[in-house]
Amino acid sequence: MKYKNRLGLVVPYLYIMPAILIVTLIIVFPVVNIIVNSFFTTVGGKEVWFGINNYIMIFKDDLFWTSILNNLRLFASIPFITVFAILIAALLYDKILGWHFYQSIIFTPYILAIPVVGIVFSYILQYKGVLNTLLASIGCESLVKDWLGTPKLAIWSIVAVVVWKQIGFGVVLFLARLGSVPPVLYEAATVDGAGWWKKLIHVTLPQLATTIEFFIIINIINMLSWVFDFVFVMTGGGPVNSTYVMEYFIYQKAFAGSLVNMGEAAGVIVLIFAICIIAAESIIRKRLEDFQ
Amino acid sequence: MRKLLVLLLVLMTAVSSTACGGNSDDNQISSKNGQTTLKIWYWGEQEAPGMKSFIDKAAEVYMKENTNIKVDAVLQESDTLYSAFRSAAKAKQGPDIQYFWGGTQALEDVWMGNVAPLSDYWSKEDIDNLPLAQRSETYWDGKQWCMPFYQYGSVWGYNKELFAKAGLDANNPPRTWEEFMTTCEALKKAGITPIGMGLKDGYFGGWIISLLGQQNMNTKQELVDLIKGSDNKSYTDPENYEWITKLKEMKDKGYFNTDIMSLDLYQGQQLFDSGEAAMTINAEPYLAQLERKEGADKIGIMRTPSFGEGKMADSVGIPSQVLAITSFSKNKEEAAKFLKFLHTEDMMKLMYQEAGAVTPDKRFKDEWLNTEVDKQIMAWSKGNPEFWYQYFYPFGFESSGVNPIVQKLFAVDLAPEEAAKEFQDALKKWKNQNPELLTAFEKWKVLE
Amino acid sequence: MKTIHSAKGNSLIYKAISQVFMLVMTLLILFPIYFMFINSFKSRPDFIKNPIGLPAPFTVQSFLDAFAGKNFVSWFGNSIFLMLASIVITTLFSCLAAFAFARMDFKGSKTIFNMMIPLMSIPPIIMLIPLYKVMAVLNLVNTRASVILIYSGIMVPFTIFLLKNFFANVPKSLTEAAFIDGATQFQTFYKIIIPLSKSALITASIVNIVWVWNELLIALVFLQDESMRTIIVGLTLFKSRYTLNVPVIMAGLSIATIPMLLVYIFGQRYLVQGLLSGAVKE
Repeated sequence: MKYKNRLGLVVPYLYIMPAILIVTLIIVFPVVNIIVNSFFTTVGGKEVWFGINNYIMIFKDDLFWTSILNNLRLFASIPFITVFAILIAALLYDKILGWHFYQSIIFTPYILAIPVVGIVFSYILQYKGVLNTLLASIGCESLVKDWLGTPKLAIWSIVAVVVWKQIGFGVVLFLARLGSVPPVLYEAATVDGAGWWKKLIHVTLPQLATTIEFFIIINIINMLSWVFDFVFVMTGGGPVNSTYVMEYFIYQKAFAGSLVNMGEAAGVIVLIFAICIIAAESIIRKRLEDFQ
Repeated sequence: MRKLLVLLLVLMTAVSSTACGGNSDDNQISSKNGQTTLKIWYWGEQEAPGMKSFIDKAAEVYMKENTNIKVDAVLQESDTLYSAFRSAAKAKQGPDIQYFWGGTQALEDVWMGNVAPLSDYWSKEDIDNLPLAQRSETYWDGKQWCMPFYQYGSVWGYNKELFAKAGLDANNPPRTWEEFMTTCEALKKAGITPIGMGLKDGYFGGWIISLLGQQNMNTKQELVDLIKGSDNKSYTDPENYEWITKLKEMKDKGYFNTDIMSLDLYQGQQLFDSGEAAMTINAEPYLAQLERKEGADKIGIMRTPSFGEGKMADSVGIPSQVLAITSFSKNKEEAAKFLKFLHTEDMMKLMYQEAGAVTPDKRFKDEWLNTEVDKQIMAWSKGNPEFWYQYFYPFGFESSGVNPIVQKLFAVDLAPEEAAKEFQDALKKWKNQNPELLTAFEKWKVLE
Repeated sequence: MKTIHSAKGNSLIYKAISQVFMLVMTLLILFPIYFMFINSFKSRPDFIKNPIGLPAPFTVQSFLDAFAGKNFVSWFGNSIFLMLASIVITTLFSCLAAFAFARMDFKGSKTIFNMMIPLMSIPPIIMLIPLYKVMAVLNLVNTRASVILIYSGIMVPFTIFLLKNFFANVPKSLTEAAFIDGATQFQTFYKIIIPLSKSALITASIVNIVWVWNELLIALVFLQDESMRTIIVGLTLFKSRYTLNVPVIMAGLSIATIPMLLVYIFGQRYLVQGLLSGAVKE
């Protein structure tokens, strides 16, 4: 599409302007404010220049490292979510027996509110909860654990719940994308005698590539900045601070403690962390494309 | 294209104007038609059910008496009580009266400059009506900052039926530590869980340190000095961590429910009211409510058995939650007047009737009380010193120190000396991160 | 190259494996939801005795307790209003922007788009303070407009990101053909791109609807007026220590969940149709 006149050059900006305006107001401006404030500290209600001291204190804080580590542990769930979601989407797209039923079930966790999910799972995962009762009744006493009350286990229990909630979104997303894959591609593959697996590798995956990338990035952002409610409801950061994540760290500093500026500095660190991951992702993708 | 943009703009303005709908700007223009709006953000329904009903009724009475005032009271959620207020305070636009959990949890906002001193707006006689113990919780730098709103004596509840079943004297609960251990052992032998508790959310840490931690102290100032570190005081001093050895003793002997790590505080406490545990720690309104339901012949209360050498070994904890005038309020005089109204006889009676909560005020009359629990706590408050440990150390030290370390004591095998060292380290970390608050804290001379 | 198994040969095994796999997934997914609903119909002693089985006796007392004294109608209306307003704004703004990012060459296109993604990753909890300041300046504190703006602002980057991904997948040949036929740029946008991206629009709307409906933090902080409370806020506000009666909690959670579930069940047919209707016939 070519534009002949000057007006043509302005048109794209008109399209993006409403979105840019609202994002500037709601996100860009506050982020700038947070970045500026992270170099200040509050004394008696007034902001006083503090240099990079907030950052130094954060890096010296062992809870910060626990939190980052836990966010990374949450990242570990992303491959599982992605693979499972692709498999399920591919099966459903194949219209296996009962696909309609499965499809409606699989998405249900996604529409529940996180506090609801958190509370329900807290009851299920209690030491004297339903899961352990079930395990004991089928003779797996050795598997009976205090799922949310054991420091080494609790974060993984949270990871499992996040996976449970998040998978349906992936399925719907991939199914939506598969819906717009030209059927000819599959027909051609079938003519070539490709089995289910081959079709998955050679047709489905390449077609899904950009959507998978999108899904992974969204999940990285999710695991970094949108898991607060899970942690808050299920463990409150415990036991023994073992389930701190960055958001919880920020909440504790800014609102349970009185270190609002330090919380803001931690927010900036999360932002930088996210930018690095996303940049790394796009570099890797470019390399892969070049390689192919 | 232009048409579309115009359409969008129109749509946006339409949405925002319908959405604003009238009551948007009453905090900007505080007096329209000569009316002043008093905004109150409060909490309490969650621990004293009926509080919302009380506030609504009180506001109604007040507005009838003062037609120029509109009281706009909004109940807050536990999780956002502080985040909402801190955001409002940073923007200097928000409530005229704010609720705080008492002691340092309120004083930290004082130190951050978010609170206007109550004593600037109340006369000396008004202030003198407040009991000394509750006043001291938010008295700092020569000023009374917050108004004690309601108190919640925090004591042990015990189940008289289960005591009798274990062959114990239900009317003479243990007073010393040895008696307490014998009691727990007898209950355990009878197949009864001695103490019902929940540790998942960590709040138990603040409770147990407040019931045991003070026992070797003579004054509240000693705790403030321990936090400051004056005279090289430290948590590693045996008298300052003896309570940890006591707590560990209870844990090692198996006197708590086995699933303590996976229950929240309130869930653990509920093991007591369902009869699954013989004792628990709980607050006055809850226990009084339980007594009304189950009868005084089943529910008894006791003070923490004492082991310590200090005067505070016999203390009873009756902390108060507070209301305060915000530093950015444009209606401070009116706010102070409304607070005074809450301490009038009618309102004190009404709050007890609606929410079962006792107003900390010297004019509150014992004869208004209608449960053994309330009467008992009132009587203890007269014969013993009052001290609630949690209110005299920094709030940040609790969430990153006290609570997780107490959890650790239960989750792994941690020697009391090591736990004490961790307390001292956590305190040091808090001091390093909060030089401003520390300076303010160091100025603190506790009113005793 | 020929595959070892013929398409027919592996279909039985494939069918069996896929059915077992899906059944296990279904059980795992349904159990917690079953747990929530079934226990909301039990009495408290029944729940303690029997947390997994069917209620005996069946009772709706927990629902009555959960409903008691609450203004569900108003909460419900507020949630609907916030949802509709913010979804309309978000979808409109995002469609336009995503179209520009996906189909137009302009200076700074890549930079602006790439800057938008990381912006999604700033934790909302720390945004409270600056957002409150913004709303104070705009004089919108304690209005529905503030929440609608915030919701839209938060959803727009995600929605653009998702829609651009799908818009870019619409074959260039289609739009170019339309362009040659004399369609204006805007016409190709709403006559070709939008209809072909129905599935993407549906997906984005579902994600956004679910998010707005369940959003707690912003609604709590920015709507300090009881008449403006949303349903999820209303339900959590009364979560006091006295209602630790598990069946009552489960009933409350069920009430919060049922509207979304109903929307989902009734919208399901359209969802599936929409999702599978995007196929481009060239």
